[in-house]
Amino acid sequence: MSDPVIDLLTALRDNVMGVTESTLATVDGLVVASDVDKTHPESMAAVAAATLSLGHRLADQGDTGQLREISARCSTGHVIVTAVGDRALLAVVTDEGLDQAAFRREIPAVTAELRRHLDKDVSS
Amino acid sequence: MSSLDAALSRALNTPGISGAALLDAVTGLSYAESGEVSAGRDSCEIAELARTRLTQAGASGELENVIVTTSTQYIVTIQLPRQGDPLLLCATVDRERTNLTWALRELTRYADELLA
Amino acid sequence: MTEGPPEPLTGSRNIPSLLSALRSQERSCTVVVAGAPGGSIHVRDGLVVAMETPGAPSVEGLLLRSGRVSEEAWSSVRATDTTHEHLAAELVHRGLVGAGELEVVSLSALFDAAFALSLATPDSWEVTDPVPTLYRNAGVTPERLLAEVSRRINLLAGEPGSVAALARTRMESATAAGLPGAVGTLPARHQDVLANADGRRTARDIAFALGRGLFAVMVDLRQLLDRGLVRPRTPSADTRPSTAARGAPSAVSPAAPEPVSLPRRRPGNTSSPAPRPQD
Repeated sequence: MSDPVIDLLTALRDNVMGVTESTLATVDGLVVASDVDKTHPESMAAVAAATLSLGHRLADQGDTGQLREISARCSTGHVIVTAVGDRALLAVVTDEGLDQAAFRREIPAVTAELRRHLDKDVSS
Repeated sequence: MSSLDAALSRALNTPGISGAALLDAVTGLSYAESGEVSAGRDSCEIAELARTRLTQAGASGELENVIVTTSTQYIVTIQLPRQGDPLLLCATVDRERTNLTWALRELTRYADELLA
Repeated sequence: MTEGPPEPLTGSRNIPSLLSALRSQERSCTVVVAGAPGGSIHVRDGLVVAMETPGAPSVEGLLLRSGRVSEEAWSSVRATDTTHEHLAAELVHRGLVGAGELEVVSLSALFDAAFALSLATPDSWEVTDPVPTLYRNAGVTPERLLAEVSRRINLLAGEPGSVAALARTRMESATAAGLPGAVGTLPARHQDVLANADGRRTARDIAFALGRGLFAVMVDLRQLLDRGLVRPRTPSADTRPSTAARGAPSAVSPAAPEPVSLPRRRPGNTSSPAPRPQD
Protein backbone atom coordinates (compact mmCIF):
# COMPACT_ATOMS: atom_id res chain seq x y z
CA MET A 1 0.00 0.00 0.00
CA SER A 2 2.54 2.55 1.13
CA ASP A 3 4.89 4.09 -1.36
CA PRO A 4 8.56 3.32 -0.59
CA VAL A 5 9.55 6.85 -1.55
CA ILE A 6 7.06 8.36 0.87
CA ASP A 7 8.35 5.91 3.48
CA LEU A 8 11.85 7.27 2.96
CA LEU A 9 10.62 10.80 3.56
CA THR A 10 8.70 9.76 6.66
CA ALA A 11 11.73 7.85 7.93
CA LEU A 12 13.83 11.00 7.54
CA ARG A 13 11.34 12.90 9.72
CA ASP A 14 11.40 10.06 12.26
CA ASN A 15 15.17 9.75 12.39
CA VAL A 16 16.25 13.37 12.47
CA MET A 17 14.98 15.65 15.22
CA GLY A 18 13.75 18.91 13.81
CA VAL A 19 12.75 17.73 10.34
CA THR A 20 9.10 18.68 9.89
CA GLU A 21 8.30 18.43 6.17
CA SER A 22 9.94 17.29 2.95
CA THR A 23 9.24 17.35 -0.75
CA LEU A 24 10.94 15.32 -3.48
CA ALA A 25 10.79 17.07 -6.84
CA THR A 26 12.29 16.98 -10.30
CA VAL A 27 14.88 19.60 -11.16
CA ASP A 28 12.30 21.24 -13.39
CA GLY A 29 10.08 21.78 -10.37
CA LEU A 30 7.44 19.03 -10.48
CA VAL A 31 6.46 17.15 -7.32
CA VAL A 32 7.46 13.48 -7.19
CA ALA A 33 6.44 12.77 -3.60
CA SER A 34 5.93 14.73 -0.43
CA ASP A 35 5.56 14.36 3.31
CA VAL A 36 4.01 17.68 4.21
CA ASP A 37 1.53 19.29 6.53
CA LYS A 38 1.83 23.04 6.17
CA THR A 39 3.89 23.55 3.03
CA HIS A 40 2.29 23.48 -0.39
CA PRO A 41 4.32 20.79 -2.22
CA GLU A 42 3.80 22.19 -5.72
CA SER A 43 5.05 25.63 -4.71
CA MET A 44 7.90 24.18 -2.67
CA ALA A 45 8.96 22.02 -5.64
CA ALA A 46 8.97 24.99 -7.99
CA VAL A 47 10.89 27.31 -5.66
CA ALA A 48 13.34 24.59 -4.61
CA ALA A 49 14.10 23.77 -8.26
CA ALA A 50 14.80 27.41 -8.99
CA THR A 51 16.93 27.65 -5.84
CA LEU A 52 18.97 24.60 -6.73
CA SER A 53 19.67 25.88 -10.21
CA LEU A 54 20.76 29.22 -8.75
CA GLY A 55 22.90 27.29 -6.29
CA HIS A 56 24.72 25.57 -9.12
CA ARG A 57 25.40 28.94 -10.69
CA LEU A 58 26.56 30.32 -7.34
CA ALA A 59 28.98 27.41 -7.03
CA ASP A 60 30.22 28.19 -10.55
CA GLN A 61 30.67 31.88 -9.79
CA GLY A 62 32.43 31.13 -6.54
CA ASP A 63 34.48 28.43 -8.21
CA THR A 64 33.76 26.31 -5.16
CA GLY A 65 33.34 22.93 -6.79
CA GLN A 66 30.30 20.71 -6.77
CA LEU A 67 27.18 22.04 -4.99
CA ARG A 68 26.21 19.85 -2.05
CA GLU A 69 23.17 21.61 -0.70
CA ILE A 70 21.69 25.04 -0.40
CA SER A 71 20.00 26.10 2.78
CA ALA A 72 17.93 29.04 3.91
CA ARG A 73 18.57 29.65 7.60
CA CYS A 74 15.65 31.52 9.13
CA SER A 75 14.70 32.77 12.59
CA THR A 76 12.51 29.81 13.48
CA GLY A 77 13.73 27.13 11.11
CA HIS A 78 15.57 26.19 7.95
CA VAL A 79 14.79 25.03 4.43
CA ILE A 80 17.50 22.81 2.98
CA VAL A 81 17.60 21.81 -0.68
CA THR A 82 19.80 18.87 -1.69
CA ALA A 83 20.33 17.45 -5.16
CA VAL A 84 19.16 13.86 -5.66
CA GLY A 85 21.23 12.78 -8.65
CA ASP A 86 21.05 14.98 -11.73
CA ARG A 87 17.33 14.97 -12.22
CA ALA A 88 15.74 15.40 -8.81
CA LEU A 89 16.03 17.32 -5.56
CA LEU A 90 14.91 17.03 -1.97
CA ALA A 91 13.62 20.09 -0.11
CA VAL A 92 13.53 19.61 3.67
CA VAL A 93 11.83 22.00 6.09
CA THR A 94 13.10 21.93 9.69
CA ASP A 95 12.60 23.89 12.89
CA GLU A 96 15.42 25.88 14.48
CA GLY A 97 16.38 22.95 16.70
CA LEU A 98 17.40 20.70 13.82
CA ASP A 99 19.82 17.98 14.89
CA GLN A 100 22.49 18.99 12.38
CA ALA A 101 24.72 16.02 13.17
CA ALA A 102 21.93 13.52 12.56
CA PHE A 103 20.88 15.35 9.39
CA ARG A 104 24.41 15.20 7.99
CA ARG A 105 24.58 11.53 8.90
CA GLU A 106 21.25 10.56 7.34
CA ILE A 107 20.98 12.70 4.23
CA PRO A 108 23.62 10.96 2.02
CA ALA A 109 21.96 7.58 2.55
CA VAL A 110 18.50 9.04 1.99
CA THR A 111 19.43 10.77 -1.24
CA ALA A 112 21.29 7.68 -2.48
CA GLU A 113 18.26 5.50 -1.76
CA LEU A 114 15.89 8.01 -3.37
CA ARG A 115 18.13 8.10 -6.38
CA ARG A 116 17.99 4.34 -6.75
CA HIS A 117 14.19 4.47 -6.76
CA LEU A 118 14.10 7.22 -9.33
CA ASP A 119 16.67 5.48 -11.55
CA LYS A 120 14.49 2.36 -11.69
CA ASP A 121 11.70 4.63 -12.81
CA VAL A 122 13.58 5.57 -15.93
CA SER A 123 14.97 2.15 -16.87
CA SER A 124 11.56 0.45 -16.68
CA MET B 1 24.03 36.45 43.32
CA SER B 2 21.20 36.13 40.82
CA SER B 3 18.78 38.97 40.38
CA LEU B 4 15.89 36.69 41.31
CA ASP B 5 17.49 35.68 44.61
CA ALA B 6 18.20 39.32 45.36
CA ALA B 7 14.60 40.34 44.68
CA LEU B 8 13.23 37.49 46.79
CA SER B 9 15.42 38.23 49.76
CA ARG B 10 14.19 41.84 49.67
CA ALA B 11 10.68 40.45 50.17
CA LEU B 12 11.85 38.89 53.41
CA ASN B 13 12.52 42.34 54.83
CA THR B 14 8.78 42.75 55.15
CA PRO B 15 7.74 41.86 58.70
CA GLY B 16 5.87 38.58 58.86
CA ILE B 17 7.11 37.15 55.57
CA SER B 18 9.45 34.34 56.55
CA GLY B 19 10.03 32.67 53.23
CA ALA B 20 9.43 33.10 49.51
CA ALA B 21 9.97 31.03 46.39
CA LEU B 22 9.48 31.60 42.69
CA LEU B 23 8.15 28.51 40.92
CA ASP B 24 7.15 27.59 37.40
CA ALA B 25 3.38 27.03 37.44
CA VAL B 26 3.55 24.20 34.89
CA THR B 27 6.83 22.40 35.50
CA GLY B 28 7.11 23.11 39.23
CA LEU B 29 10.75 24.14 38.75
CA SER B 30 11.97 26.41 41.53
CA TYR B 31 13.75 29.42 40.02
CA ALA B 32 14.70 31.00 43.32
CA GLU B 33 14.15 30.45 47.02
CA SER B 34 14.74 32.52 50.08
CA GLY B 35 14.10 31.87 53.76
CA GLU B 36 11.66 29.25 55.04
CA VAL B 37 10.06 27.68 51.95
CA SER B 38 9.27 24.08 52.91
CA ALA B 39 5.57 24.88 53.37
CA GLY B 40 5.39 26.12 49.78
CA ARG B 41 6.73 22.90 48.21
CA ASP B 42 3.35 21.72 47.03
CA SER B 43 2.04 25.15 46.05
CA CYS B 44 2.39 24.26 42.41
CA GLU B 45 0.03 21.31 42.69
CA ILE B 46 -2.41 23.24 44.83
CA ALA B 47 -2.49 26.09 42.33
CA GLU B 48 -2.89 23.67 39.41
CA LEU B 49 -5.80 22.06 41.22
CA ALA B 50 -7.41 25.42 41.85
CA ARG B 51 -6.84 26.50 38.27
CA THR B 52 -8.15 23.45 36.45
CA ARG B 53 -10.82 22.08 38.78
CA LEU B 54 -12.44 25.39 39.54
CA THR B 55 -12.53 26.27 35.85
CA GLN B 56 -14.13 22.93 35.10
CA ALA B 57 -16.62 23.60 37.85
CA GLY B 58 -17.58 26.85 36.18
CA ALA B 59 -15.42 29.49 37.87
CA SER B 60 -14.62 32.26 35.43
CA GLY B 61 -11.54 34.44 35.05
CA GLU B 62 -7.86 33.69 35.53
CA LEU B 63 -6.44 32.39 38.78
CA GLU B 64 -4.88 35.22 40.78
CA ASN B 65 -3.93 33.68 44.07
CA VAL B 66 -4.44 30.80 46.46
CA ILE B 67 -4.28 31.32 50.18
CA VAL B 68 -4.01 28.39 52.54
CA THR B 69 -4.56 29.29 56.17
CA THR B 70 -3.21 27.26 59.05
CA SER B 71 -3.53 28.13 62.73
CA THR B 72 -0.19 29.96 62.63
CA GLN B 73 0.56 30.73 58.97
CA TYR B 74 -0.77 31.82 55.65
CA ILE B 75 0.72 30.04 52.64
CA VAL B 76 0.16 32.62 49.92
CA THR B 77 0.56 31.67 46.26
CA ILE B 78 0.28 34.46 43.71
CA GLN B 79 0.14 33.61 40.03
CA LEU B 80 2.26 35.93 37.91
CA PRO B 81 0.99 36.09 34.36
CA ARG B 82 3.66 36.60 31.71
CA GLN B 83 4.34 35.78 28.11
CA GLY B 84 4.71 32.03 28.24
CA ASP B 85 3.84 29.75 31.11
CA PRO B 86 2.85 31.61 34.31
CA LEU B 87 5.02 31.74 37.41
CA LEU B 88 4.01 31.33 41.03
CA LEU B 89 5.29 33.47 43.87
CA CYS B 90 4.84 31.44 47.04
CA ALA B 91 5.32 32.96 50.45
CA THR B 92 5.07 31.81 54.03
CA VAL B 93 3.43 34.49 56.14
CA ASP B 94 3.36 34.52 59.95
CA ARG B 95 -0.21 35.21 61.13
CA GLU B 96 1.00 36.65 64.43
CA ARG B 97 3.09 39.34 62.82
CA THR B 98 1.06 40.70 59.96
CA ASN B 99 -2.37 40.66 58.41
CA LEU B 100 -3.29 39.07 55.11
CA THR B 101 -4.23 42.23 53.24
CA TRP B 102 -0.94 43.88 54.03
CA ALA B 103 1.08 40.77 53.15
CA LEU B 104 -0.75 40.37 49.83
CA ARG B 105 -0.16 44.01 48.96
CA GLU B 106 3.54 43.77 49.72
CA LEU B 107 3.97 40.50 47.84
CA THR B 108 2.22 41.86 44.75
CA ARG B 109 4.57 44.80 44.85
CA TYR B 110 7.62 42.47 45.00
CA ALA B 111 6.15 40.31 42.25
CA ASP B 112 6.13 43.30 39.92
CA GLU B 113 9.81 44.04 40.40
CA LEU B 114 10.82 40.38 40.37
CA LEU B 115 10.82 39.95 36.60
CA ALA B 116 11.87 43.48 35.74
CA MET C 1 43.14 25.64 29.57
CA THR C 2 46.52 26.06 31.08
CA GLU C 3 46.58 22.74 32.92
CA GLY C 4 45.94 19.52 31.06
CA PRO C 5 42.70 17.66 31.65
CA PRO C 6 43.05 16.14 35.09
CA GLU C 7 42.78 12.40 35.59
CA PRO C 8 39.17 11.90 36.76
CA LEU C 9 37.65 13.31 33.58
CA THR C 10 38.79 10.49 31.39
CA GLY C 11 37.61 7.98 33.95
CA SER C 12 34.07 9.35 34.19
CA ARG C 13 31.60 6.61 33.41
CA ASN C 14 28.71 8.89 32.56
CA ILE C 15 27.73 12.53 32.23
CA PRO C 16 26.65 12.98 35.89
CA SER C 17 29.98 11.72 37.20
CA LEU C 18 31.80 13.87 34.68
CA LEU C 19 29.86 16.92 35.89
CA SER C 20 30.68 16.07 39.51
CA ALA C 21 34.36 15.86 38.62
CA LEU C 22 34.18 19.22 36.85
CA ARG C 23 32.38 20.63 39.88
CA SER C 24 35.04 19.53 42.31
CA GLN C 25 37.74 20.97 40.07
CA GLU C 26 35.72 24.19 39.57
CA ARG C 27 36.40 23.96 35.86
CA SER C 28 35.09 26.28 33.16
CA CYS C 29 34.50 24.35 29.98
CA THR C 30 31.95 23.11 27.49
CA VAL C 31 31.10 19.43 27.29
CA VAL C 32 30.12 18.41 23.79
CA VAL C 33 27.91 15.33 23.91
CA ALA C 34 27.37 13.15 20.85
CA GLY C 35 24.16 11.17 20.71
CA ALA C 36 20.61 11.14 19.47
CA PRO C 37 20.14 13.89 20.39
CA GLY C 38 23.48 15.21 21.48
CA GLY C 39 24.11 18.62 22.92
CA SER C 40 26.44 21.01 24.69
CA ILE C 41 26.78 21.48 28.43
CA HIS C 42 28.31 24.78 29.47
CA VAL C 43 30.14 24.74 32.79
CA ARG C 44 31.49 27.85 34.51
CA ASP C 45 33.55 27.50 37.70
CA GLY C 46 32.20 24.01 38.15
CA LEU C 47 28.54 25.02 37.90
CA VAL C 48 26.29 24.29 34.93
CA VAL C 49 25.01 27.55 33.43
CA ALA C 50 23.52 26.44 30.11
CA MET C 51 22.75 23.41 27.97
CA GLU C 52 21.76 23.19 24.37
CA THR C 53 20.31 20.23 22.52
CA PRO C 54 18.17 19.67 19.45
CA GLY C 55 15.81 17.90 21.85
CA ALA C 56 14.57 21.07 23.59
CA PRO C 57 14.10 24.73 22.67
CA SER C 58 17.07 26.98 23.42
CA VAL C 59 16.98 30.34 25.20
CA GLU C 60 17.08 32.00 21.79
CA GLY C 61 14.21 29.87 20.55
CA LEU C 62 12.12 30.59 23.65
CA LEU C 63 12.72 34.34 23.35
CA LEU C 64 12.02 34.54 19.62
CA ARG C 65 9.22 32.02 19.11
CA SER C 66 7.20 33.38 22.00
CA GLY C 67 7.53 36.88 20.58
CA ARG C 68 9.24 38.22 23.72
CA VAL C 69 12.02 39.56 21.51
CA SER C 70 11.51 40.54 17.89
CA GLU C 71 13.75 39.24 15.14
CA GLU C 72 14.89 42.78 14.39
CA ALA C 73 15.87 43.51 17.98
CA TRP C 74 17.61 40.15 18.23
CA SER C 75 19.72 40.81 15.15
CA SER C 76 20.79 44.20 16.42
CA VAL C 77 21.75 42.76 19.81
CA ARG C 78 23.78 40.04 18.13
CA ALA C 79 25.53 42.61 16.00
CA THR C 80 26.93 44.22 19.14
CA ASP C 81 28.59 41.06 20.38
CA THR C 82 30.17 38.63 17.98
CA THR C 83 31.25 36.25 20.72
CA HIS C 84 27.80 35.89 22.37
CA GLU C 85 29.48 36.31 25.75
CA HIS C 86 27.61 39.52 26.57
CA LEU C 87 24.33 38.89 24.78
CA ALA C 88 22.41 38.46 28.02
CA ALA C 89 23.70 41.72 29.46
CA GLU C 90 22.94 43.53 26.21
CA LEU C 91 19.37 42.16 26.05
CA VAL C 92 18.73 43.44 29.58
CA HIS C 93 20.61 46.70 29.04
CA ARG C 94 18.45 47.54 26.04
CA GLY C 95 15.31 46.80 28.03
CA LEU C 96 14.25 44.01 25.66
CA VAL C 97 13.91 41.49 28.48
CA GLY C 98 13.80 42.06 32.22
CA ALA C 99 16.81 40.72 34.16
CA GLY C 100 14.56 38.48 36.25
CA GLU C 101 12.60 37.33 33.21
CA LEU C 102 15.79 36.42 31.33
CA GLU C 103 17.01 34.50 34.35
CA VAL C 104 13.75 32.54 34.40
CA VAL C 105 14.02 31.76 30.67
CA SER C 106 17.69 30.85 31.00
CA LEU C 107 17.07 28.45 33.91
CA SER C 108 13.99 26.89 32.35
CA ALA C 109 15.90 26.20 29.12
CA LEU C 110 18.79 24.72 31.10
CA PHE C 111 16.66 22.28 33.11
CA ASP C 112 14.57 21.45 30.06
CA ALA C 113 17.65 20.58 27.99
CA ALA C 114 18.97 18.46 30.87
CA PHE C 115 15.66 16.59 30.89
CA ALA C 116 15.75 16.13 27.09
CA LEU C 117 19.34 14.86 27.19
CA SER C 118 18.48 12.43 29.97
CA LEU C 119 16.02 10.65 27.65
CA ALA C 120 18.83 9.53 25.32
CA THR C 121 21.97 7.53 25.97
CA PRO C 122 25.04 9.52 24.96
CA ASP C 123 27.47 7.98 22.45
CA SER C 124 30.49 9.85 23.67
CA TRP C 125 31.51 13.23 25.03
CA GLU C 126 34.38 15.61 24.85
CA VAL C 127 35.46 18.34 27.24
CA THR C 128 36.45 21.47 25.33
CA ASP C 129 37.40 25.04 26.16
CA PRO C 130 34.42 27.15 27.24
CA VAL C 131 32.26 28.08 24.27
CA PRO C 132 30.50 31.43 24.71
CA THR C 133 26.75 31.05 25.10
CA LEU C 134 23.69 33.05 26.06
CA TYR C 135 22.88 32.54 29.74
CA ARG C 136 21.91 34.53 32.79
CA ASN C 137 21.95 32.63 36.05
CA ALA C 138 24.31 31.98 38.91
CA GLY C 139 24.92 28.37 37.88
CA VAL C 140 23.40 25.09 39.04
CA THR C 141 25.16 22.27 40.87
CA PRO C 142 25.19 18.87 39.15
CA GLU C 143 23.32 17.43 42.15
CA ARG C 144 20.44 19.86 41.78
CA LEU C 145 20.31 19.23 38.03
CA LEU C 146 20.13 15.51 38.58
CA ALA C 147 17.53 15.80 41.33
CA GLU C 148 15.29 17.97 39.16
CA VAL C 149 15.62 15.61 36.19
CA SER C 150 14.61 12.61 38.31
CA ARG C 151 11.72 14.60 39.79
CA ARG C 152 10.50 15.29 36.27
CA ILE C 153 10.86 11.69 35.15
CA ASN C 154 9.01 10.47 38.23
CA LEU C 155 6.25 12.98 37.64
CA LEU C 156 5.63 11.72 34.12
CA ALA C 157 6.36 8.06 34.58
CA GLY C 158 3.45 5.68 34.50
CA GLU C 159 5.39 2.52 33.94
CA PRO C 160 9.15 2.13 33.42
CA GLY C 161 10.45 3.47 30.16
CA SER C 162 7.26 5.30 29.47
CA VAL C 163 8.80 8.76 29.64
CA ALA C 164 11.13 8.27 26.68
CA ALA C 165 8.28 6.57 24.84
CA LEU C 166 5.95 9.46 25.62
CA ALA C 167 8.56 11.86 24.26
CA ARG C 168 8.66 9.95 20.97
CA THR C 169 4.93 9.50 20.58
CA ARG C 170 3.15 11.53 17.94
CA MET C 171 -0.15 12.53 19.51
CA GLU C 172 -3.25 13.42 17.62
CA SER C 173 -6.34 15.17 18.85
CA ALA C 174 -9.13 12.81 19.80
CA THR C 175 -11.72 15.53 19.68
CA ALA C 176 -12.06 16.06 15.95
CA ALA C 177 -15.79 15.44 15.88
CA GLY C 178 -17.30 16.12 19.25
CA LEU C 179 -16.57 17.26 22.77
CA PRO C 180 -16.38 20.99 22.01
CA GLY C 181 -17.58 21.56 25.58
CA ALA C 182 -14.62 19.76 27.09
CA VAL C 183 -12.16 21.70 24.93
CA GLY C 184 -13.80 25.01 25.69
CA THR C 185 -13.10 24.75 29.41
CA LEU C 186 -9.43 23.88 28.88
CA PRO C 187 -6.80 26.43 29.84
CA ALA C 188 -5.42 28.32 26.85
CA ARG C 189 -2.09 26.50 26.99
CA HIS C 190 -3.83 23.10 26.72
CA GLN C 191 -5.82 24.36 23.76
CA ASP C 192 -2.58 25.45 22.07
CA VAL C 193 -1.01 22.04 22.63
CA LEU C 194 -4.17 20.36 21.37
CA ALA C 195 -4.18 22.48 18.22
CA ASN C 196 -0.61 21.32 17.52
CA ALA C 197 -1.24 17.63 18.23
CA ASP C 198 -1.73 16.65 14.61
CA GLY C 199 -0.33 13.14 14.60
CA ARG C 200 2.89 14.32 12.93
CA ARG C 201 4.51 16.14 15.82
CA THR C 202 6.23 14.72 18.86
CA ALA C 203 6.19 16.58 22.18
CA ARG C 204 9.53 18.08 21.18
CA ASP C 205 8.12 19.32 17.88
CA ILE C 206 5.14 20.92 19.65
CA ALA C 207 7.48 22.56 22.16
CA PHE C 208 9.49 24.12 19.33
CA ALA C 209 6.35 25.22 17.49
CA LEU C 210 4.96 26.93 20.61
CA GLY C 211 8.24 28.23 22.04
CA ARG C 212 7.62 26.37 25.30
CA GLY C 213 9.64 23.80 27.22
CA LEU C 214 9.67 20.12 26.27
CA PHE C 215 8.80 19.02 29.80
CA ALA C 216 5.97 21.56 30.11
CA VAL C 217 4.45 20.29 26.86
CA MET C 218 4.84 16.68 28.03
CA VAL C 219 3.05 17.52 31.30
CA ASP C 220 0.22 19.04 29.30
CA LEU C 221 0.11 16.09 26.87
CA ARG C 222 -0.04 13.67 29.76
CA GLN C 223 -2.98 15.57 31.24
CA LEU C 224 -4.73 15.68 27.86
CA LEU C 225 -4.02 11.98 27.43
CA ASP C 226 -5.51 11.21 30.84
CA ARG C 227 -8.64 13.13 29.90
CA GLY C 228 -8.91 11.30 26.60
CA LEU C 229 -8.46 14.45 24.52
CA VAL C 230 -5.40 13.20 22.64
CA ARG C 231 -4.35 9.73 21.60
CA PRO C 232 -1.12 8.29 20.25
CA ARG C 233 -1.06 8.17 16.48
CA THR C 234 -0.87 4.55 15.46
CA PRO C 235 1.24 4.05 12.36
CA SER C 236 -1.27 2.95 9.76
CA ALA C 237 0.98 1.42 7.14
CA ASP C 238 1.88 -2.24 7.61
CA THR C 239 4.76 -2.03 5.17
CA ARG C 240 6.19 1.02 6.88
CA PRO C 241 9.94 0.64 7.43
CA SER C 242 11.03 -0.32 10.89
CA THR C 243 12.89 2.87 11.56
CA ALA C 244 15.19 2.95 14.53
CA ALA C 245 13.48 4.98 17.20
CA ARG C 246 15.00 8.29 18.18
CA GLY C 247 17.47 7.87 20.96
CA ALA C 248 17.08 4.11 20.94
CA PRO C 249 20.03 2.65 22.85
CA SER C 250 20.60 0.10 20.08
CA ALA C 251 21.35 2.86 17.63
CA VAL C 252 24.03 4.42 19.79
CA SER C 253 26.09 1.38 20.62
CA PRO C 254 29.62 2.35 19.59
CA ALA C 255 30.59 -1.22 18.80
CA ALA C 256 28.09 -1.84 16.04
CA PRO C 257 28.27 0.26 12.87
CA GLU C 258 25.35 2.66 12.63
CA PRO C 259 22.55 0.77 10.95
CA VAL C 260 21.10 2.66 8.04
CA SER C 261 17.46 2.53 8.90
CA LEU C 262 16.12 2.82 5.42
CA PRO C 263 13.71 0.54 3.65
CA ARG C 264 14.97 -1.73 0.94
CA ARG C 265 13.05 -2.03 -2.23
CA ARG C 266 11.96 -5.64 -2.57
CA PRO C 267 12.37 -7.33 -5.93
CA GLY C 268 9.02 -7.69 -7.60
CA ASN C 269 7.57 -4.71 -5.75
CA THR C 270 6.27 -2.78 -8.68
CA SER C 271 5.00 0.29 -6.93
CA SER C 272 6.76 3.31 -8.28
CA PRO C 273 6.80 6.94 -7.27
CA ALA C 274 4.03 9.21 -8.37
CA PRO C 275 3.98 9.91 -12.10
CA ARG C 276 6.45 12.45 -13.28
CA PRO C 277 7.49 13.52 -16.74
CA GLN C 278 9.92 11.41 -18.68
CA ASP C 279 13.30 12.97 -18.62
